[in-house]
Amino acid sequence: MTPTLWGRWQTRLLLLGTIGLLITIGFGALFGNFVTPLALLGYVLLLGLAWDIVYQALQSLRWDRDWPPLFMVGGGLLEALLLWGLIKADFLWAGLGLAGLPGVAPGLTLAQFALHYGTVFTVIFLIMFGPMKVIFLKWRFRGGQFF
Amino acid sequence: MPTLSEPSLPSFFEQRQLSIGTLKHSSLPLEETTYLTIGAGVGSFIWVDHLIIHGVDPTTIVALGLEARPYARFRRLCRNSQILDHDRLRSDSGGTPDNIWAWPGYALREMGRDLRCGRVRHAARLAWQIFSEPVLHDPFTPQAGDVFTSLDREARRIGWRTIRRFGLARAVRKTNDGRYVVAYSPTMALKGGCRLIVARYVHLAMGYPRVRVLPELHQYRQQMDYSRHFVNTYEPHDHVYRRLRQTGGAILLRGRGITSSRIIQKLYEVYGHNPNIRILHLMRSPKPNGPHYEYARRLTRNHFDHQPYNFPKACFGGDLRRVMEQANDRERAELISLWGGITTAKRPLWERIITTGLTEGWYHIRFGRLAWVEPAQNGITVAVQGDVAWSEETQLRVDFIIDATGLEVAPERSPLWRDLLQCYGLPKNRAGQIKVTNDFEIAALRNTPGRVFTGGIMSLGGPFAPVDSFTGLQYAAQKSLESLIAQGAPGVRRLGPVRSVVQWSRWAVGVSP
Repeated sequence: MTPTLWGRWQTRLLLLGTIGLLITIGFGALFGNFVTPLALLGYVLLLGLAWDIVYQALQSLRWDRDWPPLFMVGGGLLEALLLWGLIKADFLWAGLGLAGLPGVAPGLTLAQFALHYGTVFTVIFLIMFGPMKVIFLKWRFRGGQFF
Repeated sequence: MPTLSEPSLPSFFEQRQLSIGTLKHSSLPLEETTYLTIGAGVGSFIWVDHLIIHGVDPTTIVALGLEARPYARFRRLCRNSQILDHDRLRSDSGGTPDNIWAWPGYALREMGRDLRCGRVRHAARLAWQIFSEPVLHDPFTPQAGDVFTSLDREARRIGWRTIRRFGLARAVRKTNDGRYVVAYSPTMALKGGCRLIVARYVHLAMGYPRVRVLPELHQYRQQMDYSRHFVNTYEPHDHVYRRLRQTGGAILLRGRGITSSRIIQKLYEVYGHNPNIRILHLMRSPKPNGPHYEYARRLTRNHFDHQPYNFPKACFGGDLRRVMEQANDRERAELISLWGGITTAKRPLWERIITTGLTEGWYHIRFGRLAWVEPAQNGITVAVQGDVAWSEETQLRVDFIIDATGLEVAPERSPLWRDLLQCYGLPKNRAGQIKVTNDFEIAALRNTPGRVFTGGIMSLGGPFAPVDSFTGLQYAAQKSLESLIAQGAPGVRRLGPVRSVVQWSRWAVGVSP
């Protein structure tokens, strides 16, 4: 599937809102804290909407205007790094009079974050390369759009 | 006087609309169906596969064509152009004519086969290839044989043998009850007579009309009976390689698409056995730079335009698909020329062969056109007219001319399309092909409630750029199905998520839809 911007947004919203939510609830139960994983999922979604604009702009520089799997993984890593950076940017939150990134427990470890983020990303990545085409027959022709 | 290829039609076929009563009272055998596809090749197969998976009763579908296997002609053209079953096609892993969902793709299937056979390293290499393509690795392309095997499996699953009917379609006419009648010969011989079949929905998928012969060489080939020295890559021409292997020789090659790349590879293999081989690659003009679209430019090397498939990937489903669909007729023709054109895939082997050939001097590139051709002793004398600098004319003696400029695309070259163009004055698009709606319907043939659809090369210049690909044929089939669903065509049901998963599961385990 070669995404359009609307396709990126709609697919991100659908997959994070379903599969991503289920996995996140699972991690909430595992960590004994539902708020932090759900907040992280929300940040991934919101920041991702902005990231998608950047990805789409970069995609238009390519002759094939495609977005290979390697770029998807690269993008996923960048998104994770930015989010972890925001979590750890205490100076920024202190300047805003906050204890940290709202909704995220201060004790969140890198391992917990990486496990949660990595699981959501990997499962969604695999679903996009197969089952999505089976469930939504026209999805691949519409650049990831449902509407 | 009627010929074998264009036998006489019943006299009532001179009318644009035929009375169903006239047809029933004629002496010709008449049968009726709901869905009829003409061609029975890969395009027809994909349309039928979509119909059956969307719920249509297979007994209401007829596919009219000359060959039992849907890929027979495609395989023959591949074979002639030196793509054997173990060679790889220029097609995406997800270009799956046997599977309307495009998953699993051929890469995953090949990996599964490797794992079952214990070829773990090859499976891992394929996994890395599909993950890193096209950035760190050239894109995966399926083996031709795998595509044919998968089509055989799907043909068995949907009962293609009972749907396919041998017949050479000769004319299509509207009937006065909102359907169409097709006259066809049930045998190749004229004495086999004519039969009629009436259908409400017709799909025209005859593919390329024939092999292309360049105008400047057509007459020469007709008169001189020198066809053994001047071959088109899509015709059988193995004798060329046998002779070159034995005695060596000089070859003039025309065309710079992917077919010519494969021919150069074949000639290089022959060169390994007999180094007394020289290749002169005649190109019309230099191509130092590829075209650009907005901020992107197509890669060009050694005057070959490179792109993985016949159109940029986004034409198959990304933003360029939408651009094409929303463009007007003139813009579509311009975009087809810009994004498509004559291109080849960037494969390391081919690049190495070209570079080696240029360095070692057995491969030359020359710009110009063939001014004239004359028979010579054991070969051909050709005159090459330079198009640049001094327009000088050079005479050369070559043993063979290999024409890799492709297949004929003009609808007029097909008797059935020519008849339709003349009878109904079908409009053509700016690219010179049949004008279709965004649903791939030929609006000029509408006979409410009846509809005529097409796809493939005849719809080039329409709403979808890569129509001449497995994915393009699937797209056209899917759009025509959407149109049929919208008008409540018999048996066609929407394939929502649940039914889609159920149908895919049936495909996966190999039971009929």
